[in-house]
Amino acid sequence: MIRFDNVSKSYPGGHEALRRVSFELPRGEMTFLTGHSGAGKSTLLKLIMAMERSSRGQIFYDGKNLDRLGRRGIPYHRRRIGVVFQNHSLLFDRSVFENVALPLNIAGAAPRETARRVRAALDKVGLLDKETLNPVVLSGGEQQRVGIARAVVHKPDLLLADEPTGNLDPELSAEIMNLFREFNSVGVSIMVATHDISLVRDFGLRQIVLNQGRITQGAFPNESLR
Amino acid sequence: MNRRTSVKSRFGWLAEFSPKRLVPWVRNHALVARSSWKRLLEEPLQTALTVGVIAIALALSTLLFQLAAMGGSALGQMNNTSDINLYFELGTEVRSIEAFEDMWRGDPRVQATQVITPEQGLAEFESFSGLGSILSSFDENPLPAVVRITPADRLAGRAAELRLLVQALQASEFVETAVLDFAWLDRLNAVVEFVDRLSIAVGLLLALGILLILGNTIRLTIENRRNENVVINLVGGTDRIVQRPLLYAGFWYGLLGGAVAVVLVAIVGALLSYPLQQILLSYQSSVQTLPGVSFPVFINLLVLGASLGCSGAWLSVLQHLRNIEPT
Repeated sequence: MIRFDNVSKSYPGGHEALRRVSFELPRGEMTFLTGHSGAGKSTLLKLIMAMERSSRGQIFYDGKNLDRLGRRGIPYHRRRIGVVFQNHSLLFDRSVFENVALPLNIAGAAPRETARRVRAALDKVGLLDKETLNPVVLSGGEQQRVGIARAVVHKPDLLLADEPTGNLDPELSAEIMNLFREFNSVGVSIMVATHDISLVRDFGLRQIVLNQGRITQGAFPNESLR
Repeated sequence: MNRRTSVKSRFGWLAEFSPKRLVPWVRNHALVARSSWKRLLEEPLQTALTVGVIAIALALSTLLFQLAAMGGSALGQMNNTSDINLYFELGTEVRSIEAFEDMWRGDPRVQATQVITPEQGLAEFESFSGLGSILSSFDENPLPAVVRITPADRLAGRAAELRLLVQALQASEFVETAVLDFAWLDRLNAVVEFVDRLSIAVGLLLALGILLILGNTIRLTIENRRNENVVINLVGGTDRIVQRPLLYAGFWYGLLGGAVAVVLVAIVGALLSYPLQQILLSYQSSVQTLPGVSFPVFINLLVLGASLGCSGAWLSVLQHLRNIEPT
């Protein structure tokens, strides 16, 4: 699904966020991306989203080189990916339903299909009864679940999450992670970036560990099982 | 294989019109048109201010254009009525005058000729001025024979050609003087020309003003929606999808502005119509006063407003699109 080939990313000013990073994420796998803050987790996710370009090396998504993706191709690339942010990036000028419907509206889905899929996604995250509310009145955990519903509503091949449990207490965090497991069990590839190692340990899934821009563990499948 | 790719790349743009893309495109347009309309209504004060400025600018330039057009047609009519009077030398024989008239009647620059003999002139003068008794104290009729030449319609408003015609008439053997009030005509021409250009200049300036006002309003909108645009961008919205609500906002502002301008033009036109009519009547002109709001004016104002709105929004979007990119 995703393959990084000796990817480096340095920012103007000389800061090197990623150094010769290589790893592979097979289709349908769920992986954790761990490391201290500043280790390069967010940069790695941004590269997959084509929000940033690599300075060196190549990134393949579904066998296609992301460097060859033109400016016009980027939006269509992003439509195949769902993203969950730490700050959930919800829009407070519209209802929960409209927030979740956003990716479908952008893709121009039929209204009836949109309503059906939005309700299915909200049902999945247990917020079907809140669809008419403004997300501002929801709790932090509920807001994050709305964010997750928005990330999966268009049935992406890949779900990326950047510190999705950053602001939540352990119980809610576990709940969110279990939600990801459920999506993974129906075939969605998932990569969750988190610095909360205690949360990750219990799942027994592959971990890619980043340290100062380098991968120190889990670059390829099965490696962490060795 | 090779051939296939080349065909595909050459006609790739056709894909934009395929039903697969067209249907979502139309749906997104409908959705955005509705939602940006709703947003305008959610901020009534901001909307009213912007719409008001656009409406006033549109109404002002429309009224000026109408005034200029009215002046133009009034002038045309006055030129038509400005005959050339040829005063013959005293004692010119009637035969020569008739020969002269016959000669000029066939000229393409002349529409009509009329001979006023000294006797007719005297009778006219007496009945008009009531000073007949003064004239009767003369032994002889002191009035010359007059031939009144009405220039052809196509000469109306063309001072240079009229001047040539007058010179040609004056050159005839028995004509003493040929009178056409050029100074008056020139002045009127200049005034109408001035109002004409003024209305174009003011119209352009006001259009520019509308673009700037809208550009600024849309810029504020972009700033207010930064968060939204970033999210749209991250979930796969193209540049066009990010721009579309902003262009529609401009479109609605402009269209509303045009609609309000229609009302303003109708009101101001009605208020000015009566005094203008009095002025025109005093010049015995049959020119219509301000046309007010006819159907073409109505459509023009809406189309003009909407297209200025779109252009203003587009300019602003071009300039500020970089702010929309996620970081």
